[in-house]
Amino acid sequence: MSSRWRPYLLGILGLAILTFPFLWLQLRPDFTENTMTVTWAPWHALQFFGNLSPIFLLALLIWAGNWSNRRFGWSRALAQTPAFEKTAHLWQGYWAWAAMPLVLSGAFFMSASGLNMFTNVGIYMLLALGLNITVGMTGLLVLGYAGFYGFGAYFFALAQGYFSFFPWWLAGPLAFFLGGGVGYLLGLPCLRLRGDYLAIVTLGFAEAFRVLIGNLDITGGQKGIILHTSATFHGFAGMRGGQIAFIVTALVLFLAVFLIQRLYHSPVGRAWIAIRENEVAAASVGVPVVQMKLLAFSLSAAIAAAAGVIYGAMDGFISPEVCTFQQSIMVLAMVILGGLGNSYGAMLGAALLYLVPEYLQLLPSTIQNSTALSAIVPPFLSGAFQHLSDYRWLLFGMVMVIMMLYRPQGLLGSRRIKTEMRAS
Amino acid sequence: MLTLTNVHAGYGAIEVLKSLTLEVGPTEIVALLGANGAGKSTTLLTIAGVVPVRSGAITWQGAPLAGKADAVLRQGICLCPEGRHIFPRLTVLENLISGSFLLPLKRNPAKLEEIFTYFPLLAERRKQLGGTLSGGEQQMLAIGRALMGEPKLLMLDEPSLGLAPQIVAKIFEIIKVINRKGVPILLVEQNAQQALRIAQRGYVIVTGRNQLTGTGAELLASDEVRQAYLGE
Repeated sequence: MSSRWRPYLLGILGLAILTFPFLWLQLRPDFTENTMTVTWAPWHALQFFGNLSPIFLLALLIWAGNWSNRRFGWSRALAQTPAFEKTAHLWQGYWAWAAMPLVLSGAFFMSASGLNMFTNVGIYMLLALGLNITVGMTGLLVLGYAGFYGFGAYFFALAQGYFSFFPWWLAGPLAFFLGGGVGYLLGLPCLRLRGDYLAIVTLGFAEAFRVLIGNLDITGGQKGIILHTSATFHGFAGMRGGQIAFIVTALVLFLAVFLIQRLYHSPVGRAWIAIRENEVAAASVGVPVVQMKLLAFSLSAAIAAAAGVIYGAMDGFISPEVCTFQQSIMVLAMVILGGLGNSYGAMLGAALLYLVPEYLQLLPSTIQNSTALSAIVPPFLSGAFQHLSDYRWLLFGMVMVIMMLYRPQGLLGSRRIKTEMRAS
Repeated sequence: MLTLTNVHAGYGAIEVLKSLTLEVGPTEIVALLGANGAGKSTTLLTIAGVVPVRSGAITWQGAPLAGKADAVLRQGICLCPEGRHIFPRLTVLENLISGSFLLPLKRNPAKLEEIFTYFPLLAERRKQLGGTLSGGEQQMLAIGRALMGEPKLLMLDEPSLGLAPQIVAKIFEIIKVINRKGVPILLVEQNAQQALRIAQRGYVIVTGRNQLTGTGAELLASDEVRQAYLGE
């Protein structure tokens, strides 16, 4: 056991000791007699730890993958095999386009719930891509990214009140530019701040926005707004609304990847990297630091606002829940998990952090429905999966700790980020 | 070529440069000397457009020099900042290429070759990350990066900072070579003796004002300079 694990283990142990008395308690409300019986149930605490076991299994899996890679170097070996080496530069730039027809055709054979799930994945991928521009490429920590997402969604919803016809395809591009404008205006005073201060100001913006829309009459407060069906993704030309939502999200995603990758490999992208690496040096070689930061900030805000419209058009309902702090942190976690500064990494992180909990939630019913699986999987494990979504945040925290220890550059991160993380 | 006449500049309520006058000719190395806080770095930052001029005039090639940092750089005045400030996580080659950010030809092979003849060590280490170089090598990289911008005037802020005497001597040799190739240099240094040996002319400034001026040899011989900066 290496010494770097010690603080985390001590933390977990301390938490277990502190919360143990509470976990022993079992409360049973009786609504007919309006009473509450409190019983001590030691096994309840054990069940709690049993529920956590899949998380440990997942952590073990990641560790094993990483350890085997370090021991045997399979990822490097794969990149050096003749089949992969020669074509590496080809897929790196274009694999997304090759995947496009495959992804789009998915709209016609997926179930309604599957389409819904993958549209959500697409929206999170858009958000992660956008946040990656500021956090990963330019090195500006933004903690209130969901504020821009909420702005887009509420712009779309509120416009319904003023215009009788305001569909998603009109609102989306408009939200993109307006969101960019909001990002620009917020960026003007904020980008003088660095590091933690910028993070706090953006966090403040998002929270202020959420509280504001939660208390205004025109936004319906906490109740939210139900959108006109005509404005949302509805059935058209023989296709269901869900199919259109999926196709639109996928196309916007491809467009965003293309735009961002082209920018990243242009002088603009190099300017962003230069600012991330060393601001003074960037200025000394002639990078217009303030303009480039503003561009990164407003582009990422614009993408979030467009994603907000897509979300509204898909869900048909918008409430202040869309831009909570948790949402911002979740997107940030996706970017960090996938690999700071890498667009494909951000998308991978988004897919993993959204899909893994979703699949784990579906697992218990899958196990119950299959006689073969239910014979193999011990009952305590299948019970554990049922509660896993409750521990989503615990899972994220643990994944982050493990990532920072073993793969600080993220799943698809660059060597540069790794050296920085190791040095600091 | 570059002239400053009665330039005032500073930060907020503090005025650092109080009527500074200075000139750099087309083929010169000019040394700017002074104690800590005299305003040497501020002079360079003011020329570079980072610190705004409050009053007085800066002219460059006969025309007034105006605008922000990138506009000044576009006119060929390049500042190699104090403390090197290379990009630690870019390779040596990437660091050098970043120097020509504003030029249409980003990766100028002839210019790269020229820089590699000044600093053969950089050619050997072109694929190494900037942060893994030694202090002296980082300083060479910073000068090389500044040269990639094809400057018409190179301003060096404390190139000897924190370096071993042997390395300092080497860097000053190269500064002389660069100057002979036709780049005028404005050099700020704490190491007055070394600086005055290679400089044609020098200025000594005290609290933002001109104190002494003369050729390098004159200043080296001056009692005032010897007492104040050479520790004799």
